[in-house]
Amino acid sequence: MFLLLIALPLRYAGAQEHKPASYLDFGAGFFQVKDGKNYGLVFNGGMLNTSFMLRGHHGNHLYDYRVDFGFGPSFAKGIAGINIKLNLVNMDYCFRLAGNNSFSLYLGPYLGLNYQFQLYPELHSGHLLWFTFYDLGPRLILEADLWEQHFRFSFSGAVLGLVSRPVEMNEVYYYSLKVSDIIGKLHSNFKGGSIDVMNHIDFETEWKIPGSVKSSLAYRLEYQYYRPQASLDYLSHTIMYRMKLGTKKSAQ
Amino acid sequence: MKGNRTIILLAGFAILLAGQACLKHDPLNQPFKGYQPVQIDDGLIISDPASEKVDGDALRDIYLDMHDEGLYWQFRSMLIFRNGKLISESYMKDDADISRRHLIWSCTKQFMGVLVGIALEEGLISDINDPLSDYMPQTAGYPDKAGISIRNLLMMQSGIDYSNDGTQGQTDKILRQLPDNITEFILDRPVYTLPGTDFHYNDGDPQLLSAMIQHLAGKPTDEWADDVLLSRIGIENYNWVRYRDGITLGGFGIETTPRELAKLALCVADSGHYDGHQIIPGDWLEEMLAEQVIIDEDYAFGYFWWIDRNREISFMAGHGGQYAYIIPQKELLVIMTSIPNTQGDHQINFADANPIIDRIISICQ
Repeated sequence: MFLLLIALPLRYAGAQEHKPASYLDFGAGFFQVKDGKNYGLVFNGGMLNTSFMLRGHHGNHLYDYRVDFGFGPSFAKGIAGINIKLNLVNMDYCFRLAGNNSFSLYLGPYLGLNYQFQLYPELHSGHLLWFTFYDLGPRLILEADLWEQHFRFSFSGAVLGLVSRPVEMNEVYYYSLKVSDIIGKLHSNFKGGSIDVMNHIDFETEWKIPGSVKSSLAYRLEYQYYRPQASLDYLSHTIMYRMKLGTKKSAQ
Repeated sequence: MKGNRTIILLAGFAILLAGQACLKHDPLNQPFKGYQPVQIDDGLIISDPASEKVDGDALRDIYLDMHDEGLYWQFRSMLIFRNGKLISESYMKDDADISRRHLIWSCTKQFMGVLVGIALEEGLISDINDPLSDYMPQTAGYPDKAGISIRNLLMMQSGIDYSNDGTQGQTDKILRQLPDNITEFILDRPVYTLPGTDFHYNDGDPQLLSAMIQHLAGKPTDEWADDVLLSRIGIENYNWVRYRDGITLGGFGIETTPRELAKLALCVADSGHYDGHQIIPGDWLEEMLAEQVIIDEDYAFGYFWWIDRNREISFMAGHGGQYAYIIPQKELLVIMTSIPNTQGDHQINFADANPIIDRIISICQ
């Protein structure tokens, strides 16, 4: 599936005209982190998000590439935390399964490279928590015109993934906030697995604002879990304003 | 149109379902299962409340409160000893904490206080009123530190401008291992007042004593401590962390279990005896636990040991809520440990622990 994801855009890039459009999102949302390393506490917080997306068609097929950044505070029992989210890659390549004049249904693989950092100075002092998800799975996209309005729904769930988490409880004296050490941690102790170990569910619905060529509103739900100790659950709800920046005509 | 309605109904249902999703927290404490100590052959003598004249029902109520996450969610353990015997123990987070090491933070300082007394007994130092510079050649380049005595360090009165505070203080830099040489890092700090004139609780003073002992003993302070104290009182399940330059940490640095922590407090409470042997000099303990510095009307400081003046209690105290209380008038010893890295009011502070101590005292005949 991964090879397919990489190979198909290359195959089509050289063969067919395609017009990827670029989009910029601004969003605000609510998120929850339940991390076994937080002694059972659920941190609730608000997050501001921004993302850049390229979306295009190859004939009957569809592809997306998206990079997403968000940050925000979170709280549990009055304890403050900070969450930073960086989705470096969220890409898919989907094949048209069915459709008519009013709807099109697509299915294809997606790949996500997701980084999340949490700092809870009042709970863990300077120790950093993180979870890195590299995940791969199917994505279903439905584009539909309903009552003369355009909707787009997408749903994906990971079937394979690699997850990096802190291994030990953060109960050692020393900690490091050096960027180089943090980057090293984010890519340490990866554990692979399928839905018995981890998952990443991503659901988004988008509504094109009537009368506007460039604007739409979207709601996105993401849920990630990791089950080996210490277990992790992350849930976010985000409302986004999506702005179309333009359409690029690429080389043949 | 029928197909469209189906699609929009399904989508609407999905959005509604998604919007309802939320996470709920797990129990922060495990249910109370009883306080009867477990025999794990670690040298502790086990007894029960009735045999040691403690009201068992009232004790149960205290433990129930400590397991009530609405009251306290940071506690990890409480152990009570009377007449030198362990009469109760319970672990709020996980029973495995009976043998799992955790940070005890500044309770390490109280170990250092005892070790200086042993260093005196062993002849490593001849008088605690001697200047540190007599024993540490490393201080030669710091004339402003020449007047600092060992006693000043034991009483947190070196006058060195060292701060434990948050991200701005020197301890944060040590925890991030930024300085190459921990001793020079502290000695490089300016002096803000004359030695012996101001009590300023900090991690730098005990760290200088660890560096001094390490120099005099010719081996890391933790190794020397194991030879002269820890192994002799049965403390085996511990780790004492060194700085990256090899110097054993002195203001914090020990990771151990509540039971092992209790062994030092038991030995101190028993005037330095363990298993019929005098391990810590008795006259040193008297001096160490005497009010050397009056902090306020409630608290005083001995040689790295805290004194609750109203309750007439000596105690060990570590960040987050790590405590060992010696209550001589009731032949009582109470160990409390907590999750260690909380800050500010999220810690188990003196004010949180004191009411529990009062309740325990009140149920002992």
